[in-house]
Amino acid sequence: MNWEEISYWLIIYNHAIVTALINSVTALSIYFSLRAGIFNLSAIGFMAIGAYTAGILSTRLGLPAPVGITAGIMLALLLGAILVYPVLKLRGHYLAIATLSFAAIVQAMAMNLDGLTNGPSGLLGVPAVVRAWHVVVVLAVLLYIAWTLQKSRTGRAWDAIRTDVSAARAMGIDVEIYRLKAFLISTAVAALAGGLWAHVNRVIVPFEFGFVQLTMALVNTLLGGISTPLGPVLGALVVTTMPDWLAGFAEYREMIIGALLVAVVVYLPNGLIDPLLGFARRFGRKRAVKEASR
Amino acid sequence: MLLQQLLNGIVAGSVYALFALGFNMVLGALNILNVAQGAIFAMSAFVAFYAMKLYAVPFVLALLLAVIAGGLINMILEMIVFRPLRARGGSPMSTLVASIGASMALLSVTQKLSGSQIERFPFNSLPDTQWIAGDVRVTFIQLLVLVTTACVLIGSYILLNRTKLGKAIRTMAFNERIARMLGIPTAGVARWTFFISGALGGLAGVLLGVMFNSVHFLMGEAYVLKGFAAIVIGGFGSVAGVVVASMLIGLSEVFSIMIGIGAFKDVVIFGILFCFLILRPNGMFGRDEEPRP
Amino acid sequence: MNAGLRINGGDAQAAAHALEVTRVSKHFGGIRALSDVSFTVPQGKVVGLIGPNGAGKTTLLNVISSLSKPTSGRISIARGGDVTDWPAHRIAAEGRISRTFQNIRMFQGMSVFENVLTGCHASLSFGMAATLLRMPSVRRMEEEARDRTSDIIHSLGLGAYANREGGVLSYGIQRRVEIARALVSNPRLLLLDEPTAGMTPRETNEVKELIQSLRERSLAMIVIEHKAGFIMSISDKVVVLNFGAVIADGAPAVVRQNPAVIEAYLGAADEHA
Repeated sequence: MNWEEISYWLIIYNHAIVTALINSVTALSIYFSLRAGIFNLSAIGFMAIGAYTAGILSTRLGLPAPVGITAGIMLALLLGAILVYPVLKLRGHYLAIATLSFAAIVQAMAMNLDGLTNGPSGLLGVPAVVRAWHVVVVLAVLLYIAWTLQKSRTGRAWDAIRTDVSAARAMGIDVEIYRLKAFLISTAVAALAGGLWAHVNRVIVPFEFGFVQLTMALVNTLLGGISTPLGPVLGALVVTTMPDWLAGFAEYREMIIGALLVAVVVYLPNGLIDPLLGFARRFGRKRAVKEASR
Repeated sequence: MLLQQLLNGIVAGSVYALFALGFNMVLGALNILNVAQGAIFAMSAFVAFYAMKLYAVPFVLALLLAVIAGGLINMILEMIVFRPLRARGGSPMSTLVASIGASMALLSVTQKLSGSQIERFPFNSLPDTQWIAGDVRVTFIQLLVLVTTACVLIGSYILLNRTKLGKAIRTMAFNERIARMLGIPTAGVARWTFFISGALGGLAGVLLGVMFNSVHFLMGEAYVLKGFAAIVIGGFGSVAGVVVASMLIGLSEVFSIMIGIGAFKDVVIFGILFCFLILRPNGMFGRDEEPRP
Repeated sequence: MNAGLRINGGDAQAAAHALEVTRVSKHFGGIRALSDVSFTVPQGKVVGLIGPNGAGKTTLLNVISSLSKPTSGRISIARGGDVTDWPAHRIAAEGRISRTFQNIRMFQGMSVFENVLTGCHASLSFGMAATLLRMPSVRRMEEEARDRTSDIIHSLGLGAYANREGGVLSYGIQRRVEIARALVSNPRLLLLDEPTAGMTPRETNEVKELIQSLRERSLAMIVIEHKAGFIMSISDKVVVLNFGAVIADGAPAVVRQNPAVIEAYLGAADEHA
């Protein structure tokens, strides 16, 4: 393929690519929580908050995109901080229910606060100023943050909390604070995804922030596995572009994705990437052991 | 007027109770939050609908078919999704996520088979009779719902307290390892628990579909969240709690509409849910559990 | 196996005990797990904690490490005073109390090295911002922590397993990893909950030697064990619990002869090690 063909292809599929990239950001939001063992299903709700804030500020007040998006993140963090104290004391199912309900409330509010959000018909005319490369830059920064934190003391603390909370406490890890950090990072990243989305899609409808989208986001994150921040990103890219390379089966997309999610959770709990990595690691180790035992 | 609304609220609450009971059972006995219950709700409603519309099956028979279908689908889910997951030590997170995936797959199947339209039950499939007592009007459907719910509650009580299966379920809810040590066939009990739970969800689906005369593949999703609310507010593990909480939810909905904030009736419910989660996570009648270090 | 272990010694003041447990009781609903338990752990000494199954030994360790709050009573340590209300992570980090668990609780999915490195958590004091900005102090502290981890791993003979995933190793090795993880933070008090459970006689002996060398370096310890002979040979003093209450407290030789102790253990003592 020469450059002409490639750029032609990129233009045609631009929307799909940007959508896939934004889905990667959302998937990273879920990643931060899951990595710390927090079963936080509120991502879509905070995404809605980010999207609507950016949308409202740009259409009603004519504010530039970066301002709107930042405001969305601030608002999300404020709500998240209020939510976090009661919610983080909850465990397992209760935490999932609480965060799911929060997302449902946000959607309901979006549908009903007509004055603010224009209700079910949605907010129209948001300036489409966000380009694919913007999102790529954002993604790169987020990946840097995720990667660096993961390898550091913070990442080790999160891993410890995820596997065994009491043992983590006994190591001197302040579980509450670390959970708080993970939750708030998730919140901010989700709102960021929402803000970017608003300026890509031009239209924001409440319908987009519901159960189906949550499921898709979960599939994106889990398909790649959460052992590395690249996992959710690759998962999102693969799944979002799936209709395009699954041509004939596009109709059955939701069915396939639902079944895929089940299969991944049951048979590949570490996602698709990890088994490949594990294989490589074991292969490398076998060589090392052989060397050592000579 | 007030009495009428009270009745409406209790009828709605009864349907929620049927749904939530199914939820509660699986959650209590197996520690699985099965979001697919919402999909089964809709699928069973469609089974009844197609039976009546395409094959002119009488209502009672259609209802029965739907209930069994609901139970079977849930049972199959248990066998192909939850059994292997639990065998490898499924955490609450993984079972919930698996159920979300299963739910999506089932919903999608329902959508393909039924089209995305709202379907209405054939005209005259149910008696039109109503009874009027002063200010209050009770339709046949409403009476049916109340009677069915009462029967189900009595049935549940008998099941859980007087039968072997019921005792097995309660023991598993208390501690699965102990149940196994006592020789209880946990695999079989799990299967039947899912069956009953699916049957209850299916029952709720048909009744609701007939009550509002509309069947749509997404009809169950709203009830999933209300089921959650019922479990948390009522205290999961307690049948009485879930039923009372469901009634409260039904009543709060009706009153929200009455005071004119109908659009926010869901927000009200979730608000109450949050309060309970923060102040009294064990709900009104839930078991008190101290977390072990 | 013991060369190169640097353990922080206790205070110069002999007066302050490493740990003082005062009238601690713990009720779970209707069950009295601990009743009015009092004893002290002198600086740099080993206290053996024994008692029949269900006597409350692990519960006591949970209370001391603050994973569980006492219903009444107080816990105090040499540099920190009354720590009864401290949260668990502060007891570990500031109070410098480390522990192992009865059913080994290694962090799944992490290698042995990473497991032990996590134990250094409290001694590293930088936050997320510093990490992300790649400040040189961060790198320095991380390197130092890694060196410490490496040292401990080698001195406990775990060098060969450093990169293996924790879960697949033998019980004896896992136990040693847990101990390494507890030691890497330079604790003043080490709580060992049945460190030799499930081990072969040879492995048990290795643990015994490890404990003795730690004691030589003045690390105070509480050791729970069922092997009476083992406990008697390593302890400076022995505390015996039965039904949540202390029934004997003193030198091993004395406790051994105590009729109440003998009765509590009637038919249950096994004389290994």
